Amino acid sequence: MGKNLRMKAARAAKGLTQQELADRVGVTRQTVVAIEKGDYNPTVRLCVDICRALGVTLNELFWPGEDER
Amino acid sequence: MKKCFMGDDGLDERQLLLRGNVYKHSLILMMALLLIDGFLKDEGIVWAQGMWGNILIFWAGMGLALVEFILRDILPRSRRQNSLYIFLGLCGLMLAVLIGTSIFIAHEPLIENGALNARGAGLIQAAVMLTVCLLFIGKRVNDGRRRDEE
Repeated sequence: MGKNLRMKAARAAKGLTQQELADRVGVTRQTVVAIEKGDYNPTVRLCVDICRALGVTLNELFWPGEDER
Repeated sequence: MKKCFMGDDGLDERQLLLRGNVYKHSLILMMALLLIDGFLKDEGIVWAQGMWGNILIFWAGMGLALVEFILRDILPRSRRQNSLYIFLGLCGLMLAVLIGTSIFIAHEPLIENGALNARGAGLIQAAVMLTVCLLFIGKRVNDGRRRDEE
């Protein structure tokens, strides 16, 4: 699983730190780090929460692009 | 927004998943050590006196689980639970000081008749407790630094 750079970019665009995003979705900072690094595959529920917190859609953050498939 | 934390421990979904693996590793280690201990006893080899062999096997499993908890960030959020790591370290320190004193002042041995005695086993327990506590403190300091750097 590759790095989730789109999530990192979306978080940065929203001006949130990893800790702030973690607090908003109710997980630890390490879990956000693991998702961004591609070390952890989150559940759909957590994906939805992250998308809501960042104001983007599931497709924008988690749907693999042509080069990622 | 509904929180993703589950259970009474305040662990999130990734931590709960990892916690299951940690328990599995700990159980496998303890089973393997008990098996080896059984074979050794059958051959007449005693590596620790009395109950200390079994207690050290317990500490091996427990130590592995606690180290993995710390290294994989499966730390509960509540202060009460985190203070257990510090308490463990204090117990380890007291045990190490007591046994160290008896070794250096009274020159009491750690091994008798080729088997660990109570002092030897106690020293190993103290080492495990101190390792877990120091690792916990190191991890907390490191996490704090990383958070500041971000």
